Amino acid sequence: MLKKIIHLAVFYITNTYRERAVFIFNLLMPLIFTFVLAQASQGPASGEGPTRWPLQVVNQDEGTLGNALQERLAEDELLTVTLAERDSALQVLRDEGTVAVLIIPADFSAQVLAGQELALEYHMTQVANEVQVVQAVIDSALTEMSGSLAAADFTVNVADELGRFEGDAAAQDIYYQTAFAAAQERWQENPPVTVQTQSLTRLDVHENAVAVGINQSAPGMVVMFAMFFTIGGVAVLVVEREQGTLRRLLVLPLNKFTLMTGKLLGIYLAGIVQIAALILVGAFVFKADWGREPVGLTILVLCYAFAITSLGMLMAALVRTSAQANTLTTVIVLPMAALGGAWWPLDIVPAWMRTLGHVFPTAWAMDGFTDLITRGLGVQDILLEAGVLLLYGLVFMAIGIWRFRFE
Amino acid sequence: MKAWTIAWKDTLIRFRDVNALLFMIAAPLLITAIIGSAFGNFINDSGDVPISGIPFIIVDGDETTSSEQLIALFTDDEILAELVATEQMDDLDAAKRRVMVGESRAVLYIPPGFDEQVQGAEAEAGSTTVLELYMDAAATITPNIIRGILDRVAAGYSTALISVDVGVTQVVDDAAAYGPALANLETVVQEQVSGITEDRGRQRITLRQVIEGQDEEESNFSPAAFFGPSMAIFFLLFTVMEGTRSILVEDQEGTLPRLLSTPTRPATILLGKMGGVFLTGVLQFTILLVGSSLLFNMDWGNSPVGILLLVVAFVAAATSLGMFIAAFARDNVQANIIGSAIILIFGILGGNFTTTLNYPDWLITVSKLTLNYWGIEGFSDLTWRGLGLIDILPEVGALVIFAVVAFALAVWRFQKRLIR
Repeated sequence: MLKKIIHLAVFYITNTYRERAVFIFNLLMPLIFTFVLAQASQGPASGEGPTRWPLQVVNQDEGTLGNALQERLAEDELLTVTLAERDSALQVLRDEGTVAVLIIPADFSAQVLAGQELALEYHMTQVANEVQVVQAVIDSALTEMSGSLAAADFTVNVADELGRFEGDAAAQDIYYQTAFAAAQERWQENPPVTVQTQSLTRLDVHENAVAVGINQSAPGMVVMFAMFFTIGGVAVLVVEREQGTLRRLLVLPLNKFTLMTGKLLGIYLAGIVQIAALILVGAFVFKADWGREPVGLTILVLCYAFAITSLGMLMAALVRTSAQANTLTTVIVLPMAALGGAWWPLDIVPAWMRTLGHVFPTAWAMDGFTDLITRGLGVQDILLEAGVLLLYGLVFMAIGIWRFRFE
Repeated sequence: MKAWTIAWKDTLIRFRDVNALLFMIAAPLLITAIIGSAFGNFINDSGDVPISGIPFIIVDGDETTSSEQLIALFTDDEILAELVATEQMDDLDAAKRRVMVGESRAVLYIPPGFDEQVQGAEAEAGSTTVLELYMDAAATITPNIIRGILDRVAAGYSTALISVDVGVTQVVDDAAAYGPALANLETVVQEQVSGITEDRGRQRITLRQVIEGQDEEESNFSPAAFFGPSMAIFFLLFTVMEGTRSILVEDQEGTLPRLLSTPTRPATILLGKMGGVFLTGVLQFTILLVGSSLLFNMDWGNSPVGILLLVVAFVAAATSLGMFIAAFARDNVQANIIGSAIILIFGILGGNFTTTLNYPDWLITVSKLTLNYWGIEGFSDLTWRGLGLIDILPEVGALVIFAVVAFALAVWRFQKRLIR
């Protein structure tokens, strides 16, 4: 019996991978999707050390605060600041010679000293990770400046209450400038309360490194396209039932158990081959990082492939025609991929959607990939996800086999 | 008239098929609903931020009134309490472990000495108290939301402390100029400090992002308004491809030769078939448009004429593309493979799955070769960019050119195939 099961499985795999369409849809297409999505969310490769990001500053301020801001930014170890005129700075941005352009308007000092709130123009070409890093540095400098201005206001108010100025605007102005400078120095040297952050991961990733786009899109596309391929593969059972092939196969010295096990094993293994190919191509061609735990990755892939093979079996048992199977495949796969975190990380959706997403095996698979790839966790940390996927697989398979009709 | 009969018959057949309806109507509406729910600002049109209940842990190493006040900021403030689901733990290592395995997005450690620092007891010494925030490396947005809040809080504390430090120092250094009034320094400082405390965290100077190469309207980008038309376009292509392939299926099954044996010109049959696909596409899009408006309050802009023109142009381009593929494919199977591959490639390149706003320039150039790009741009102009009929004429023009070229080639090829 085992020999027959293996024969059926091997026959399915060789037959499947003989078709050109299989390479187009199940290997080429996910790689194209992965690459394009990575281009849309690209950043510097993870693991790189800190670097100095170029920033063009257009200082049109007629007062002194613009200079103060510009000098503060120039001193930051993460930035290389270049002063420029507006038009040339924006051209450099369009030519991708800088990450962003900050424009300090002519009335910057006047507005700020008058107590008004204002927004500085921050020009960028796309919302990429390095742009956000530079923006964070500028935000920090603006926070310090706002705080220093508040300190200067406070000092002048106290002095004024104590009768220091008696209408002497010049003296008040000197007091203000002195207090502002002292506060700026205090902010830069040792602000009383600061926040220090650290990303918790076991990977050797530098503090300022950001995840490369491909590491976000690769697992998601593997999860989605593996589902399409595997569930679609099980849908072949529906076609064979429609065409009467399954009934005819039972004439052979094969019992139903052997037949189904052989076919499902073939579909399962074909799915694993697909996932393995996508992982390897992703790693060697696109430099995707799949973590440091090949054993954990293998366990996760095996369990996920089992879960989706079983889901396909369940679907094959519930539908009546191949047309229904084809429709349901798309109707099931796309929402499950979206809800499960294959399209976007689940930490950005409402809590109820995160919970809903975890009704599906896709979310558990994505959790497992995230644990291995981004958090650098080990085998023991993905055992929960693997266990849940196995459980899904067992339940779906049990119902699917119980309900499946050969005719 | 015969062409219309064929077209109407084919349309009715498609809309009577439950599977087809599920695929044409239910699937795109379902996915649009999911995307809209994920990014909020959609079903209830309230503009509420969709992110809520961010799991967050605080470990209080100070255990003083000041640290409790900091914690209360997250637990008692109505807005923050909804945004962040805060819990307290005693063990920092255990809390970090929970972040490491993804059970929480961040843990804040309030170190001992925090109270002395914020009460100003150590401020003169020039020391710094560091609030330690450990973040989930796998979460890109939510830990940074917490970080942003804490940065503002820390800035508020520092502003108050530096203000007092600088102010008092400057006044005392200038003591001779004040005379007896200096005796009131403490009272005046207390009064002025309350003003800073109320103002804590207010940022006077902020940044306004300007994405170069995009117009002012780009800042109104709404994921929900983007994905509604995007999914309609994506699923419409499947409908159109399946419809145009039906000619090859009928040829294979013998129905088409029988049709050709009747006193009906091949051109009429072809026109009828194409007309049926076109009509199906327009009806499908219209149903999706109405459905999304009624179910999700989706705003399709202020130009119904523009919407109609764009729908007609896009469906015409899609139908022509489908006919082109069917005309040049060897058989139904090959047409299915090529058609499906093109739909997926056009979908990802043209911006159906993620906005092309973030594509590098070279990729945007490539995406302009797809009709998806022009369709999405046109609908984006009318919906979240708030533009009008005139503004979509370039997109309509591109789609019409696509339709004319593909249609001409398809008709030329089909006439050779049908008359054999």
